[in-house]
Amino acid sequence: MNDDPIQREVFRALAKNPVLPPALARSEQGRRIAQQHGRLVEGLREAVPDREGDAWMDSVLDQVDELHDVDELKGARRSVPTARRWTVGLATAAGLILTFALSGEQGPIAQMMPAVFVELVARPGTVRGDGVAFAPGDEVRLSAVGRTWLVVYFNDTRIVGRCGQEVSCDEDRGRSVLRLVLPAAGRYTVVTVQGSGPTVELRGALDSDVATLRGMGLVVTLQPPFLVR
Amino acid sequence: MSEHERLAVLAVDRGDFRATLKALMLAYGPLVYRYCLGQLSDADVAEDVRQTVFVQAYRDLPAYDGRANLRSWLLAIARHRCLDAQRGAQRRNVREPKGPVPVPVMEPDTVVERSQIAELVRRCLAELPSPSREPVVLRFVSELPYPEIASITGIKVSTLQMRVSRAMLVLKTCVERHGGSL
Repeated sequence: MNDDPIQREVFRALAKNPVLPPALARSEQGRRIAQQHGRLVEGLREAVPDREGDAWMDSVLDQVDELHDVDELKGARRSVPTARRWTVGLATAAGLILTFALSGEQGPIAQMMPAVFVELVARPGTVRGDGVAFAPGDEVRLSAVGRTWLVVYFNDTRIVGRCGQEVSCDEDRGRSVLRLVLPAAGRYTVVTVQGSGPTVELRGALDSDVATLRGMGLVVTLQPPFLVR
Repeated sequence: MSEHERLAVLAVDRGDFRATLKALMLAYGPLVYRYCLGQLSDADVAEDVRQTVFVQAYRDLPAYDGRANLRSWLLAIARHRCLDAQRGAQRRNVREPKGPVPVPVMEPDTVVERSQIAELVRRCLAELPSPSREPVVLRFVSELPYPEIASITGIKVSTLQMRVSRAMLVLKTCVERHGGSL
């Protein structure tokens, strides 16, 4: 340990204030020790560098997504305004749970809760999950718990994305996933379809397609629409 | 206040926690990482802890009451998670004892480059006991004012200044003992 009293005094002063008091600054020894202190501080800043890259942020966002998945499966999702913005269909899911509970039917939670998350994944100048409205050209990621078809209708009259029947949905930790570039401003409705059956030709008219699917005994859930402006 | 900090404050005010998380990561990710690295002396562990800190922050944002600023609030979370990591490392060291990290000795009269000084400082910093190391890291690496350090650590400003002063002397002695010329 250093027992030089001037050094102790300089270090004590610099611990309180980066500017050396005049009494110490007048002394050559005081100034020299202050310079050494400064080099030590520089060394500290260089010794503890930042890490390159921002992949860690994606990892955090993935972990946060997993939190949502767990909450969904528990049926005990927290009230999170952001998630409300980005989650379409929770009210539907709650209604379904109530319906199943009242009817006494038991089944996998994933089948009861085909709630769809719609998340922005790409837009110039932003990264995913920004709290902004959707716009034409945005790439979105739609995901639903469990194995389900996903069909996306534009203005209830045209199918602009689908997976699960002729083309498989991507799978991500037990979720069915569809990526889609939003082609135009308008209203988008995501329909989830569960069950098995022959290939169905969907015509693009939301109401009649839903009626066809239900007529085949499939479980069809319309998610609340989201708007693209 | 940086743009990301401003966005974080706006987002938390309107309850948009995902946007808050993103703005917090952009604003304070490096700060949290460097604090953790200074405390833990292991880049990979520091990275793991940083991610844990932000995930916890996201979970805790609904309970954030605005009494502390977001930076202090995040660093307080980081402090606890780093303490957890240190305790975990201590338990592992009890099971698998390791010797102290060797500090390289510079040849006398060698002109020591800045990067070599930094390397010596890094190793000497790791040798400091945690109660001395933490205020040094928060003061000179994180560059926080003492009142904010006091709010994060719960230690009085005068005590912090005393610890910083003594720890810097120990660091200087350590660096010089190993051939570093300041």
